Amino acid sequence: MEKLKKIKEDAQKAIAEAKTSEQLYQVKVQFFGKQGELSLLMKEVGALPKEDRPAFGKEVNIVRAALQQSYDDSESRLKTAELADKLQKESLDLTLPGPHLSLGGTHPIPRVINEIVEILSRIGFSVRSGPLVESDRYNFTALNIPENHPARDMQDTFYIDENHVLRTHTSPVQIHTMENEKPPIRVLAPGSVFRCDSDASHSPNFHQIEALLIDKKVSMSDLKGTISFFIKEFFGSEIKTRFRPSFFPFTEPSAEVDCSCPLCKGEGCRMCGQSGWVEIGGSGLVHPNVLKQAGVDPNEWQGFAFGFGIERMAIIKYGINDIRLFVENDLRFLRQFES
Amino acid sequence: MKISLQWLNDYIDLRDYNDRLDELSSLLTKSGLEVEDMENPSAHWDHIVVGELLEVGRHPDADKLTLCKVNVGGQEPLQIVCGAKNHKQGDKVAVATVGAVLPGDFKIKKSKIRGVESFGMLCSKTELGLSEESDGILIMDKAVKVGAPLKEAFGEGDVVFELNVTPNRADCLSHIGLARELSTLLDRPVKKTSPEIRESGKAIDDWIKVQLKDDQGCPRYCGRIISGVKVGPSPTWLQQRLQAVGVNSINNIVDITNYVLFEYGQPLHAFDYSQIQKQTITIEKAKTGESFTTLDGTEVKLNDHDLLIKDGGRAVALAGVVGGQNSGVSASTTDIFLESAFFTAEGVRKTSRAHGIETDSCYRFSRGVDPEQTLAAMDRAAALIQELGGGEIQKGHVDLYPKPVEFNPIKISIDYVSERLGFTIEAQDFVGWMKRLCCQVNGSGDTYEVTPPSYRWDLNIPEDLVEEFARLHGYDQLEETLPKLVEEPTPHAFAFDFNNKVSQLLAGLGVYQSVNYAFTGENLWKSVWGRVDVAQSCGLKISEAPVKLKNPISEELAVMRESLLPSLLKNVSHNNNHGISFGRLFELAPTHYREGEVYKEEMRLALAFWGQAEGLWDTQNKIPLIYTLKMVVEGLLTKIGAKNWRWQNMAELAPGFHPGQSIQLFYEGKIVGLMGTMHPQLKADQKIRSEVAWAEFNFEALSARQPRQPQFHSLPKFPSVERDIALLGPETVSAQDIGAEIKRAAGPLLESFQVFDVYQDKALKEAGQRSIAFRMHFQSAKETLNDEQVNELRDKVVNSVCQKLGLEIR
Repeated sequence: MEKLKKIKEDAQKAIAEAKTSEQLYQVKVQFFGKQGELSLLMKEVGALPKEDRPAFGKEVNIVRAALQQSYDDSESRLKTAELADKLQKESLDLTLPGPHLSLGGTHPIPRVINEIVEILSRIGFSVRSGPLVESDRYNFTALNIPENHPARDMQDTFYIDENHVLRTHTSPVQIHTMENEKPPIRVLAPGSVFRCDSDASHSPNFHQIEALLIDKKVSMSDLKGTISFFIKEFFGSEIKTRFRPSFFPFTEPSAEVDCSCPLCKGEGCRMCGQSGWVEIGGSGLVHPNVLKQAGVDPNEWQGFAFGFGIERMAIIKYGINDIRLFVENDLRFLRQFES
Repeated sequence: MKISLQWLNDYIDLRDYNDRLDELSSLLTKSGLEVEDMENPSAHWDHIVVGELLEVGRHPDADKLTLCKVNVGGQEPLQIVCGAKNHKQGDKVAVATVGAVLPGDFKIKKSKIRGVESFGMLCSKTELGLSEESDGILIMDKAVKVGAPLKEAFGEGDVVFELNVTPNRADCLSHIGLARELSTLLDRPVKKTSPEIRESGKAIDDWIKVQLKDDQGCPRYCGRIISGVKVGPSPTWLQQRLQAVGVNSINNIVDITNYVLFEYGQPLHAFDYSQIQKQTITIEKAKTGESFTTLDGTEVKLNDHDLLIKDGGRAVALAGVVGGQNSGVSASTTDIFLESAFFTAEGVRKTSRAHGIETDSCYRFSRGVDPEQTLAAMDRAAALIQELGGGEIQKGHVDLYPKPVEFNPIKISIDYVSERLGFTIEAQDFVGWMKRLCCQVNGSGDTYEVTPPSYRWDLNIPEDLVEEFARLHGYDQLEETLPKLVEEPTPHAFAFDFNNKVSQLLAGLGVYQSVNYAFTGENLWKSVWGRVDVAQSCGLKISEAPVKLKNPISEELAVMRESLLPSLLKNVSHNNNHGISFGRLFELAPTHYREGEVYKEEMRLALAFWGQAEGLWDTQNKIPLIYTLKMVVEGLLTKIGAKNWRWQNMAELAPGFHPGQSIQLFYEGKIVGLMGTMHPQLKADQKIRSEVAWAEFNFEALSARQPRQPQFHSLPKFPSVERDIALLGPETVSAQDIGAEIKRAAGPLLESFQVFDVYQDKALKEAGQRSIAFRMHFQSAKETLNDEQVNELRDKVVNSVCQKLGLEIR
């Protein structure tokens, strides 16, 4: 029993003094491992009188349990400390940059197109496309712009040959669609268009999006409501829509579309020339001659159409101040459209 | 179109708008006549007074300057230094005194010019905002009172509106026309004027015979003779009015025809009667090849659609477009044949376009003039000639109008107007506005017949009247409703969705989208592709003849693109020149080619990567850039679900590509494009410092059978076992060939494999050898493979690869 008491005291002391989990483990091996002092003491039990043996065994087990408890406590404490130490040594300077990642991004023009398409497809419009080189018929005559009509002067045209032009607007897609599909129709035609003038504010190759709706009854109020919905979604719910009378050969009545300046909220700024309004496109009810040309009976069907310049929308929305930026593809510009 | 407010006041009283000009301007804009600009020079005339030059002397220190003493009505004359040459003692001039602020925020202050004090400035017309250019200072009429404010001496300065008149509103291309429009808008009367004609002398028939042979091209032809005129300068008021609308004064006769043009919108032509051969005028079509010399001496070869005014022997005018050199008014002209006609818009326009002649006359004819005022406008001009140029209006006039233009009533119902506008309108509102437009309105209740006045030839169908009502009633009265969606929506055109998807994927793979002009310089593609057949051998469609513009704005923008790479080259070069040493761009756009006489498009995808990122951890720097491009291209192919593709060596070399670092994409049975490192020579030519890797693909081929749905396979039940092999052999044996042989030899139990190491030391490099190591994953769907089975497969692969490709196991 004396021995047992000594083992217990020595072991407790050693456990308390162990500095590392490794030292602690050695204590366990020495005192109460399989070959440890406690086990050796157990083997001496045979030397005891038979009646004392159970009591001694019990004592040994109590000591063993107590030591195990101390050991566990100590181990847990040491391991926690050691882990903390390890973690501390592993700390990194996370203010260093990660490896370079090219983020990529879409160009603001397709980006604006997609945004417009997304908004208008919610009210049932879907995209159609047409060629860039168009015949005179699709670009002009079918759109109620006969040869020798002064309206041809409204658009400076690039010619490919006598009968083919680079489309001056996305409106030819109206005709293609009406020829290929049965009304009712709700389509959008985004894409590249061409005019042969080039200066600080005009590019010879720019982008438009066209919307065409053909149905049984279509009114100017429907047109204004649709455009107003679009403008609120695109520029913000506080932005207002204004129609001004205008002339386009393919619509009657026709209206120029202005919206209250999204930059200054109508207060007047450089973007809107202090007027509080910016011009964003043209619109109107489809001219009966256009319906006829495309094989749609104007007595049965009516329609509206509107079109916006994509660069113009991007300029207004993002405040871009130079149209050359759209085609230079300068990464310092494109990176601004990563998000 | 410029409109003078003073002039306009002759026909409609707008004096109450003098201090509300912005209101007038916005009224016009709102009604569809957009006011683009408004010039109001007298707004700058405070502190400008009439002065008399008491002395004009030399500046003591400058030869080109004069030193003037000017009486401006004060106690003492002002000393003013002036740089002009056209003034002399006694002249009355406009003096901007200290405190005046001239256009352009030019403040007049007391100053010293070359050491001499100057107390103001003698003004030119330009400085007063009265003309675009001027020669010297303004010398005024002797009668004006010294010291009077310029506003008093000159009258309240005129205000000039610059209107953007749309092609349908030709009726507003004149002062009377605009007065009519304002009369409708403001509901106030137009002041009617009728020219006073005092005829004398011989009857017109004794002067001239006029024969109208083409009443299609010329439905109406009128003429008058004014004899004994004196050609000379026009009075100031006439010159000023013409100047206000941007027309230079020539002589009284020409000025009067121009004046009436801007007043009535009716082009007129004055012939020198003495030059008209055989006293006959015939209006007839030209013969093809006939030639004609215009007023300014240009010779024109005519077509048979051109309409001519001929005299007894020759053409004297190109109808409605321009007069002839042989018969115009000159300083010695005394008798005039004055022409006023209604030529049809189409004919005049066709002639104007065919010969590239643009005049104020053909501008108006080609937009349409009023056939009912041909005579009135002529008489107005005749009366003015009599008044300002002397002469006598001879008795009678010519008026050939065999088939008067008919104006048909337009049938319209109020319900229809309401329906098209989307809100209910009242019949009385509609009828009221139509009447204010000077339309004849018949009918009652819901249906009406509306006949527009002769100058509103643009109103033909009910829709036109809907617009007239809407713009007058106010576009701001429109409601905002959404059209009901009854039918099921249709999907987007597939190409739109797929192009978008690929753009988004590429952006996600770290590439920036570029957008370039669809046209470019001719032959630019050759620096990349060399020959048409080389590009064709890469699966791209290029035709021998490009799709070329007839009227390009520059050589650099003259043909539709045949390849996207020249554009990307330009973009890389731009970035490189701006110090952006690395980047990644792609473009997805159509190129053009010809198939016989048909113009066709091919959608292409091109990519250009340049330079490598310089950063702390960048390990990709160690491998050539082309592999980064390859990674992105293969990533994209995987992302779009493409399976059946491989790379193969080039059959033909394209000059824009490094011959040893370019490779073609073989996709679903055909070659669809090329990827490679830019040829060092091209790079050097473009002064690009960074390494460049680029590629162009036929995107239509890549779009085939899209969208592809993912295919599900059950997950493997049994584990896979790996085996590595390292193979030593000539570096010319490609990884792709070895891979193909591994796949073939291993059979279906080979689940996948990859290259995991390439080793080449100096000795190996010199010997043209390399070691390439593959890791193979074997797996069976039926059982767990044991070592024996897998080792057997590996040995089979090794034997086969070594034997067939001349490699050895390392």
